[in-house]
Amino acid sequence: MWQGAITIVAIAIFNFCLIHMAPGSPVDVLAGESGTADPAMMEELTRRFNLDQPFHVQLFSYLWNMAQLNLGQSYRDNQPVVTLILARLPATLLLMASAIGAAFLFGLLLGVVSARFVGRAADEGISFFALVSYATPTFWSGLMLITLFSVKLGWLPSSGMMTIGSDKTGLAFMLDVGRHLILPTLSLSLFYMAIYTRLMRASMLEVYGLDYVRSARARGLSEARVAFRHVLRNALLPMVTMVGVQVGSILGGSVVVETVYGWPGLGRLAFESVGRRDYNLLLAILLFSSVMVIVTNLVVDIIYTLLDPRIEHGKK
Amino acid sequence: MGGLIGFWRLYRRRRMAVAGASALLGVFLVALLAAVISPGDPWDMAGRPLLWPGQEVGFPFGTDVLGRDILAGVVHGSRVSLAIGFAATMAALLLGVTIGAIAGYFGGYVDDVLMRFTEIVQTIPSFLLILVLVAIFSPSAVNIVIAISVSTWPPVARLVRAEFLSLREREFVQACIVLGMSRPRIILTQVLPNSLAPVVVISSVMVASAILNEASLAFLGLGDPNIMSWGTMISIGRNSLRTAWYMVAIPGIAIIITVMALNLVGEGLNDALNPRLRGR
Amino acid sequence: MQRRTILKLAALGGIGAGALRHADPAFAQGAEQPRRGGTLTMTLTPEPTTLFPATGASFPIMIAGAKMFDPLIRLDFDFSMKPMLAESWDISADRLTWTFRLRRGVKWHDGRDFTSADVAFTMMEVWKKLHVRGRNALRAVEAAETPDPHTVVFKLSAPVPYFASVLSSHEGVIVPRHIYEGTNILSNPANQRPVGTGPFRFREWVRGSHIIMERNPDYWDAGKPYLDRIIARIIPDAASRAAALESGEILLAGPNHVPLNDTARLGRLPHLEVHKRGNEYSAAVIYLQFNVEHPVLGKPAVRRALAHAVDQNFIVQNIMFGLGTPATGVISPYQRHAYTDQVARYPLDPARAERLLDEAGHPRGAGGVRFAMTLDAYTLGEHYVRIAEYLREALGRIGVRVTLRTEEAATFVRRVYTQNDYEALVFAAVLLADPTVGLQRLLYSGAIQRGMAFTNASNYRNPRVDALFEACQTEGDPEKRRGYWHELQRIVQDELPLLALANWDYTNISNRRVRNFVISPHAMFENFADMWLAS
Repeated sequence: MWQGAITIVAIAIFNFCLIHMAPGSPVDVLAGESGTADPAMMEELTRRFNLDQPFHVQLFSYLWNMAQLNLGQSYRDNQPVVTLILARLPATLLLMASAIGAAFLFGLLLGVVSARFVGRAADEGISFFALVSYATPTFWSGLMLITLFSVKLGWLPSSGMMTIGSDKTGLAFMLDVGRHLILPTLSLSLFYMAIYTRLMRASMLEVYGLDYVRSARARGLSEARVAFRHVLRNALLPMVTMVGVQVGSILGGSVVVETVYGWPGLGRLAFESVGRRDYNLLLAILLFSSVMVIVTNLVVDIIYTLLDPRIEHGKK
Repeated sequence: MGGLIGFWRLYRRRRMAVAGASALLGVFLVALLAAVISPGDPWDMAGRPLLWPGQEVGFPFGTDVLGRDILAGVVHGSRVSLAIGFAATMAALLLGVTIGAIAGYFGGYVDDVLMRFTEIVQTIPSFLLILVLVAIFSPSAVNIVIAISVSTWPPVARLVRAEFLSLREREFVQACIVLGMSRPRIILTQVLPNSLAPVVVISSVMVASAILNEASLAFLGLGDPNIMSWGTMISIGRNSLRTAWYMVAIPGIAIIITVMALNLVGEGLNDALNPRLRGR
Repeated sequence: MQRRTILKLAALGGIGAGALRHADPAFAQGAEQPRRGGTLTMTLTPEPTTLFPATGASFPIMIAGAKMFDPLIRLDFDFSMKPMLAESWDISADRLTWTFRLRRGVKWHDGRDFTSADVAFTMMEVWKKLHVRGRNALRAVEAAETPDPHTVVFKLSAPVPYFASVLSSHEGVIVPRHIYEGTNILSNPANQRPVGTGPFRFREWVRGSHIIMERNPDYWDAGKPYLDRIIARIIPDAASRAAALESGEILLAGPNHVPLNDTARLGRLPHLEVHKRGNEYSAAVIYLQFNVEHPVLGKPAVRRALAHAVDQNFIVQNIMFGLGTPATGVISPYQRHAYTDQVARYPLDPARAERLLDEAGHPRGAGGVRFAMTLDAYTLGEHYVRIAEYLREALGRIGVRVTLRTEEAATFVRRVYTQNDYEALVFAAVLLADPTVGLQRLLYSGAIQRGMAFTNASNYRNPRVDALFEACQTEGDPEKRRGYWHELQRIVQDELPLLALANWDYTNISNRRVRNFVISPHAMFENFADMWLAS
């Protein structure tokens, strides 16, 4: 617990130093956006944002506030940054969960099929598909999917998270969000799906070769039973580990995907806050991402122990 | 020499790895011969704007909004993508190997501090970090390389550290210590060469991901405005997606081919250098 | 009659009304009966920071705010004053006393009465102190008196020729005193849930997604608004906005909300209409700005040479897709009361450009390069970067090696306006109704102020130009004023601290179902009380 807290404080300090190295201040941006500003007003703003204080004072007061769980106000929106982040968090979590879920599920499926038919046409086809998906830039697949499914075919919406103002509720609402979710999920998950497919294929092949699986087969268990009871369960391990490793990268990828699809999530908020020099907001987002990565890895550790084959065998 | 031949024997056993190496070689050739294939400046507004591929003989890939030849852009863009990819990877390797080597060799307190630092950098989503770095400094090729390398070294450091930790205890290293060799000499001449195989494997994948990162940056408008990269071309074409999607599609395919080739080469290297994993 | 003349004069000498009326689609549709009901979806970009529009801080705030807050008056196409919250007015002969009689029975959205105290408060505490342009323009306002709840009197220390334009429409919305008095106005929570007198009430704001405003049933103009509600959607990606317009998801898009090439394309679709009208008030011009303290670019002869290397038609056709015209000088032709085309011209002539550079002492040196320069582009708009890319090629042809820099807005503003560390840049200025409001800050020597964005970063100093700007601030005679502006354009076009590249036609795009959209020069900034949707 203490370790985690120290890590988080260190991350906060690291981010703070990084961002305060930047030329340009939020006051400049506010002035730029209004098209005009006078020195008195800019001084007023500088004072209000505490930007006239020396660096170490700013850092200390930032950490002090953080200790009291106060991440500060957004310079631009005059709202607590936590409010802004919480407003965007659900959209990002939904997109991430759906992308990881899709990648995991399809990766698993394709990997199993591939391993089952190793060396045959299905395996070759799936491997090539994985290879291409792994090499495709997220934003590019996003743009191409929009071109195909929104522009040419007109099947799916090209942007946003829901049809605004339709006042849908319940199932209709969920279906509506679901429709908007398909393309962003696809773009974001392709890359990870490729990873999981190959991982699954490899571990399936490896596990097939292990002694206890061989003996299970020898005991006359059916092919499907062997695949699901033993092989799959053990092959899941590296995949679960991978999810932990990939969370940070998916968060980064969501910046691009949210921009392409106008998805009102955290990634875009991060990108916007960089441009606006909204330091407090940006720092909070970076901190949130780090915490998210740490927490996910904790969860993965827990799942890992639950899935561990040694524990499984110990019971038997 | 014998080692190299042996390596090649192992490597060429994989069809796809050979295909990847050939494709990569092709991209290298294009980059090398850019000035021959497509003389002149890729920024030159050489033709009528918005020509579709094949619409006019001189422009097989068409032209962009300002009448710039897309073929020239793709050809010259290969230089930029490869240069940024390799430069960023070299820089990240340098950082990662140095930190990993020091941590792994010295262990103890030094190791703790360096690994904690590595962990911190690793918890920040790397693309977010790259984005922040490039945005707050000026988007130039050098800054992009720095940003990518600063955000992507941690896995290298961990890898090298692990190798060092195990090699440190091996007999030949202990022998060198007994013989009184200096530490830097042991690190550089004995341990490092023996720990490089996994680094070589990871590096080709790092080049690929650096190319993807540069393209994503350019797509978000944070590319170097003075060099024609594939990402820049996509970002220019993006607003015309509905009317002229070829402007986005063509450089995208160039990225996919290059990144795919690099990944295949990485796998080939992995198989050839890591006998344990062979046959997967 | 006497009063009308004065009014027109006060509102900038006006432009001919008749000619414009004929083209107004709103009049052509006059036969149709407005239909009640319906939801208007429009784009809003970038997302506003607050919904407090009385500081005039940015377009999106003003566009959204104008639906919920009303001004005293609005301007018609001829820039004459039309009643809004003020029913009538008197202007003293010396134009130092402006008396407004306010509409009775107007209520704030929270049910409180609207009175002259609100107007006086807005003038003295908000506009004069916080309005980005008003602070300067309203310096001459000494007092706002409230002899009774329905009368307000502004006392001026000197005539302000453009006073009406400052008071009008989205520039001059009135805010409630009972909510803002005694608070920190800029961080008042009401800025997130505004209370106005306008035809639409605030309902919800989901950040990153949309703002919903709904019909104000107690609006003073009985029967209006026609629309049930307005949804302003925030779609960050320009191409997606175009897609939403095309599919009918969005019925209305404001200036610069759609990439220029898409605007041209969308205009050809049967269900969409591109309006140049309704943006007269903006008068945007794209400039190549030089830092005149640069050792090479500081020479007017060099700047004139560079001007001969630039093909304005190429920019207008290929980068702006015809949504503009080649510029003749610093003042926009939309500012008809000030504009002239009788100025020095710089037709495309690379040979001449090279000769001029030779003569200026910059012959081609090693590698054919005469000199190198860095060009910054304002990145809040892709076409600025495209124009900068074009300029790099065009100037490269005459031996000037240009390196581009595309720093994002914060760094750009700091570099140019705070540190003044740049050589030349591409940007656009919105000149608004009058050059005093929009142009003076770019060229007046008194506007060389570090740390202040969009001011005279050229460091241009010309005593005659200064004198002309000063004269125009108070000159009441439109003809004399016009003469001053003409002289100013000739001087500036001769010395070229700013090389005007193109007059940029701001455009709005509407679905043809949307009626009564362009009914004033404020189009998108109107309150939409008259707008209705055909089925």
